[in-house]
Amino acid sequence: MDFDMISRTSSSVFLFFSRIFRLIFSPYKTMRSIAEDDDVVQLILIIVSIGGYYYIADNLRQYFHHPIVLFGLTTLHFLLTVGFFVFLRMSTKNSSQVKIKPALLLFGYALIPTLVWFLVNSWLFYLLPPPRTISFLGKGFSILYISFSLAILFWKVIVMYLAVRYVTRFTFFRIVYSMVLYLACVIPYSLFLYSLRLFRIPFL
Amino acid sequence: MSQSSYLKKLDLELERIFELQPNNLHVPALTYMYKKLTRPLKSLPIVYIVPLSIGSAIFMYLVFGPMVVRLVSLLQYGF
Repeated sequence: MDFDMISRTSSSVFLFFSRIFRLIFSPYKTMRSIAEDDDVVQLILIIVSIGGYYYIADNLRQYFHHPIVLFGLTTLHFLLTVGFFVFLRMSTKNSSQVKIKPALLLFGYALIPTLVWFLVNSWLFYLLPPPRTISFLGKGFSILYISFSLAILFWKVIVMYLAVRYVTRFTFFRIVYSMVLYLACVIPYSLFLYSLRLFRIPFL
Repeated sequence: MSQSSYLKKLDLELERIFELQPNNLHVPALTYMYKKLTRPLKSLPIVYIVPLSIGSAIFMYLVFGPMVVRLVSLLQYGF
């Protein structure tokens, strides 16, 4: 392994962590810089993080299926999501020129809020297992938990909107329509996955 | 640096900035509202997201009461 490869990999790792940090405080600028990037190492790091989450979560509470199955399905869903929006762009803009690596990176970083929520949720499950009670502490924790979940949801909506905007180049209403179409496909599919005891809340 | 290289750099920068068509909601009032609402979200949205989330959670508790506690128990099983 030569020095050049080591330095490139280390810079990718550094960039990965710095982008996650900057995604919290300035998602617009960060996603804009990600849209110009095609670094595969960062994508691998995102996927490895998701795989790592499933193994950690399986140790905290055993899944019905093996974590490798859930990880494989999550990767497949991620690729289908990217494919969906890339297909929308190609079909509406009559353009066959779509940069796939930036699209993968953008939607990969859009998974970061989801990963954060799932990680925090799994650790809270271990430290403060449900069910919650209607005591003062239970209500207080519930309000904090809902605040945290809503903050992550708003963050996710912003990052997802930016990912769709940069991949598809759509304007506001088209982005809303494409998201509605995407949810129309995802929601019934998620219910199907729930019936198979694969995911309670889909990792999207 | 020569003038032509400056112009070239400017062209590239303008191309980069206007790579994306600006958002247009086709109704001037809506476009104006959209730009007003999204401007603060472009830089440091956490300043707005955190108080908004806390306010929404408190509002949800005031409206729905103990159902919020049940929702939290449900969400905690969600992973």
